[in-house]
Amino acid sequence: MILRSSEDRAPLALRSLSVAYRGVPALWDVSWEARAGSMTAIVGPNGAGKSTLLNAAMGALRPLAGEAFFWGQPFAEARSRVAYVPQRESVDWDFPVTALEVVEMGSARRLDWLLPAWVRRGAANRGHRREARGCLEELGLGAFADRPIGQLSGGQQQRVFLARALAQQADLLLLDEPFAGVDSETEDALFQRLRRLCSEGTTVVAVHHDLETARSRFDDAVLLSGSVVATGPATEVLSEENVRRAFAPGSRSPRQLA
Amino acid sequence: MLDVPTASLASLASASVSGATATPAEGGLLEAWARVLSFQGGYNTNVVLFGTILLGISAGAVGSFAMLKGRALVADAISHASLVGVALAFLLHSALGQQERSMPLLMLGAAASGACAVVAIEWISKHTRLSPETAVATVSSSSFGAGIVALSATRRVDGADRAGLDELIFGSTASMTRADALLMAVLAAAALGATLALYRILTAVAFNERFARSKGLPVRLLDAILAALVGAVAMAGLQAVGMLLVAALLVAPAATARLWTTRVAPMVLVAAAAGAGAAWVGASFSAVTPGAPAGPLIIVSAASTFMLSLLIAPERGLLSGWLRHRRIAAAARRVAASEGQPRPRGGAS
Amino acid sequence: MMPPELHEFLTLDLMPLVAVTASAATLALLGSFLVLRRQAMLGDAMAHSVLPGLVAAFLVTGSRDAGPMFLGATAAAALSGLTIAAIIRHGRVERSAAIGLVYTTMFALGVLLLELNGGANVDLDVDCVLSGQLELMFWNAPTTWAEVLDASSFAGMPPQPLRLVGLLIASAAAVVLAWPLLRAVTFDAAFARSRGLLPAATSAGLMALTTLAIVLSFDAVGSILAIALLTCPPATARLLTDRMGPYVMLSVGLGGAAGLLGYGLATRGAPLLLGASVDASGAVAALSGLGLIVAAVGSRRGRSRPRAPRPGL
Repeated sequence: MILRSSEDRAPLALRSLSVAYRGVPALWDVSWEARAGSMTAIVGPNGAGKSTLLNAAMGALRPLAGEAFFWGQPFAEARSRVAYVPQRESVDWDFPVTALEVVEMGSARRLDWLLPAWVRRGAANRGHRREARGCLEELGLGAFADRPIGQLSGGQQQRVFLARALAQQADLLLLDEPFAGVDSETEDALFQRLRRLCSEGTTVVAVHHDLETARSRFDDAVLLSGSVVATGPATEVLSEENVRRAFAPGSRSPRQLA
Repeated sequence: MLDVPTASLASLASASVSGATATPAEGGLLEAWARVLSFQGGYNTNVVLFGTILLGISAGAVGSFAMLKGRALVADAISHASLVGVALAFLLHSALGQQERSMPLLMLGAAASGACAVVAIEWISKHTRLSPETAVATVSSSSFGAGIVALSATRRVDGADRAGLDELIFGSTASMTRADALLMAVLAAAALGATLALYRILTAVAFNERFARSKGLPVRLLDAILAALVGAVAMAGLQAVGMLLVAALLVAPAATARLWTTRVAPMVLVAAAAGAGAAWVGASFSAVTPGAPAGPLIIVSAASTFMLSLLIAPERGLLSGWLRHRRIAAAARRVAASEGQPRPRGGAS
Repeated sequence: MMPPELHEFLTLDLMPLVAVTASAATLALLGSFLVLRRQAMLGDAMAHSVLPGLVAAFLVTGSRDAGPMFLGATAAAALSGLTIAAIIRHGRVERSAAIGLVYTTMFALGVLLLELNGGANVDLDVDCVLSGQLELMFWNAPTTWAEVLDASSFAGMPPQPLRLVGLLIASAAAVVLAWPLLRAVTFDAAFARSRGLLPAATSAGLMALTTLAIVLSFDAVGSILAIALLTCPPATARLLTDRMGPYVMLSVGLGGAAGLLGYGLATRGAPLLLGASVDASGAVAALSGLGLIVAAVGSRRGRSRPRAPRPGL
């Protein structure tokens, strides 16, 4: 009998992950595991390497050293089980595309990437379109499905991104600042939706900037400042002492670590 | 290149700078080049050479601020658009019965159409959803198209002296008269003087526009002044470097300087020196090389300096970056190995 | 018998007209993706940077064959693309400056190569780089209607217009085939990468197609038209619609229309006004810019748009 170690089951496990931009370290020796079915906030000051962590885990950045595993596999093999939501500012919201078309990018399966919809009128295509519409309605955007995304408010745009992630029906959500520009009422609704996903077994890892909600809404936290300051239950990790250490000027000194 | 017959060189040396006392080249090309480089190429050659060097200095200085303000490509649009103005000024001039080519008038036309281009770019990027980059690309390419149309219309004008009109596109010091060189030098010196006079204010605006605004500096006026300075350099460089290439003379030295330093004063100095060097080498080589126009030579030498700097600059150079990366990567691997984590088995689900 | 005016039109104007229109439409189609990615200058850069590659290929082979020319141009375009990327990434020089620096330098190298070998050949010179050689594209057209039905009368057609039409069809087919992929990659490259869609390879493919379009256009209609048509029709279309499908189609339509109208104005309109025809490629370029200005002044919709913060100029 082979005993599986925990890292085989962890939706995301980082092993001594280090990343540098132009020879300057952005992330140093990060080891951490996400608990299945939990919500984890990645917290830290600007430039702490929060987004870098997500990008390196997915292989979008080549790490200096270390590895990332999704259920024990490299990202390329676990891709279909992971949904990624980039920062809202990373795309051009003036792009000529409707909310529904964005969400369809999430529900699209392999062959849906070829040929425009008017060519593929098959039942399968209708299916993925219906799925996408369902996800939009779930987040209260049913009426905006056919609007160009540029006409939506910041919070609505953020919800379109989340709807796209829902449409992927993934087991792990990697979210980069999903609540930036979202009003508190919507934020509340989104947290409830994410919580329900977690209770169904989905794991959520979100880069988050607000310490208050990070403590109250998330199960776990990773406090970053170039390297890991603390990991574990959110309320313990985000103690005043730890936060002061992470946010203190000059705290980010992975170069000294090297 | 080295075994160019002496006879052709001699004819060139006299042809390349009009009115220059023919300096028959003895020995090879390098010798002839060395003579021009050391300002022994005759009076008129020197006038052109000094003028071009002055142009390089002011292009470096003005270009530094244009780049810090993120407006490097405005120069490109100004110079592309200037062809319309040049051609229309020429048509107007000859319609009035003038036969002589008048460089100041052509430059005036170029400045007018260049200004129109700047206004159009500002308007498009402010009042439409198009990005500034799209605005520059569309305005510069279509106005150049209009310029080519106008230029083809000048071919229908009989009797007028079209010489040098086509050369404004790619630049040529060969057709420059002494007056042209002086005009270039005066314009370049004026732009340089204005830049130095406004040095402090331009620095403040370039680095922190919001701060400058809060201090009550007229940011919009300074933007316009900077555009005018860029325009002045572009006009000055029209003849020697050519309108398709003069933008690079504003960008390359500034980009070179930026690789070596992050502070403004050294950056302006290094950029000015790089611009001067490129102009000196390019223009003098053109004076002794058959058929090689000065503009492309100046740009190629400016770009070579940049590429060399990109390779070897201490902080931002590729070489130092690569070494830094290797060092850091080795350290990261050491740390990772010291944790002694067994590699997880892949493939399990 | 065919009316002589028609025969004259077929002989002198049909082929240039087809070449201008097809290349304008192709460039507008491929350029529409550049403008969507806010990389309009990159098209400008590619169109300028292919010059040294073209000249080098010409000097080596001594002919204007499309094959070697394309190889040389692709090598030059790839070289400048990589250099631009390296400068932005490592030199921390801002994007527009890096682009402006590299493409002008490549263009300067091309001009230098051209001028240094200028005396030796008359086939490739600066004028024809800028404006192409539309006037050389004549077709020994049939004089009677019966000959129109005869396949042999098409054998004497110049190759450039046919190539450009072929490229237009191929590009359109590629865009239709990969439509959802292109949309996803252009809109959100980070997301596309997370789904395994290879955004870098997709944009490299698009750039290769763009380079091919530029090379074939250079040969026929010159660089001015190529550069303007990559950006002006898409920018105009962008002001008029908020849907991607209509946007791309409108861009192609505007490009084609600029080609037809510009050629007509330069060869038929200008003689009436000025007494002589003017440069057709330049006229098409200028007309496409005029279209943009009309659309920009006419449409005020874009004013209140929320603009995403972007590394602009």
